[in-house]
Amino acid sequence: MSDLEKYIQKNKEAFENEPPSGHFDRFSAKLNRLPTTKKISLFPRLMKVAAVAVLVILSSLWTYEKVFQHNNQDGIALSDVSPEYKEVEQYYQQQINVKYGEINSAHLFTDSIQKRMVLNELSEMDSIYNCMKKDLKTNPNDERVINAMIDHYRLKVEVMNNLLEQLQKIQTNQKHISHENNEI
Amino acid sequence: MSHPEQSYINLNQEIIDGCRQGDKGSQFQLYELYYRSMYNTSLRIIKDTAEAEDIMQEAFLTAFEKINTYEGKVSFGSWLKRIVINKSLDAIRKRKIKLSELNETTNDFTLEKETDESEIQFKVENIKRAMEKLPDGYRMVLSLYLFEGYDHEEIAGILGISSSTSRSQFTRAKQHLLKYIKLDN
Repeated sequence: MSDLEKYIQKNKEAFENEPPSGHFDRFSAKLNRLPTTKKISLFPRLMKVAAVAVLVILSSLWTYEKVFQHNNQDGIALSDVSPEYKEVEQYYQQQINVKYGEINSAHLFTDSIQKRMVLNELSEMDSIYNCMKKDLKTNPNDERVINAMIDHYRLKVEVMNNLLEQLQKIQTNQKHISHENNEI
Repeated sequence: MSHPEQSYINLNQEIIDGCRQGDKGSQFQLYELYYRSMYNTSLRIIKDTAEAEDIMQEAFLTAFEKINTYEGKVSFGSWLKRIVINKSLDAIRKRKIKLSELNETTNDFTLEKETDESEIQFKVENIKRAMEKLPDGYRMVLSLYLFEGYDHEEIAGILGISSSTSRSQFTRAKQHLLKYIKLDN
């Protein structure tokens, strides 16, 4: 190493100058020019790829359900026709569910054979409804089919109401009989 | 350099990681650490204080924007310094001074006999003044070798010349420098 090199090495600090005053402020201003803090990447790239793959799979499953499964159904239900009819169907189904629960509660029936017969009758009504769904599929938006469906629901609720009335009558009669027996 | 693949562990790794995430606080901290050294590197090439400051600051911004290309194979300071040098050289080129002038001998005065270093009393201010008098080509080779610590192979890569040119230019540049210092004294 020459004398010059040695001298520079030894006095390196002395050769250095400070930038013109105010350089910190000028740099701050320039720094603010940079795009604001990048979003901290929570997921590594692989995770992002996986997330996208999951989304694609889910959405294609959903599309499959909507497009294909729907067409594979045996028919079109009342609720599929329009939002208004959907409300109608929901109303009747709710009614039917309540009645069904009442009928199903065992103490109303004197014996289980009777109960099974009634429930079979009700499920036969469901099969009629399923036929109508098929009809509606072959004749979309046919008012006659739609009206028949609504009539069917109304009828079903009526039948169930009658059934419940009859059953309650039987029950009260039975109570009277047992009361009389107790009195004797 | 026995393990070129080995990642360089920086003393300020946390600050660098902050900069990777675009954190403004970390970016300013890094500036505070390196501005002085980077400014002087640029100043030695460009000679103008305002321009050197601007180039140095722009180099920091470039480094922050391209921080994902920093692989950690060299120290962060070395990586940043290369950006500063490249930007300074670009500015010099814009001044229409071609680096090919490096190959031409500048005949400010004839160097009849070699100046003997031992005859000269070195002073910081003398050396600085003499450096400023040198033509850009000479000054660049000298400052890259004497102040930045690059070898001739590295200087050849930076300036786009052969390493033998770098060597011969360095010898000539140093002779000019010594002459200027002697005249100053």
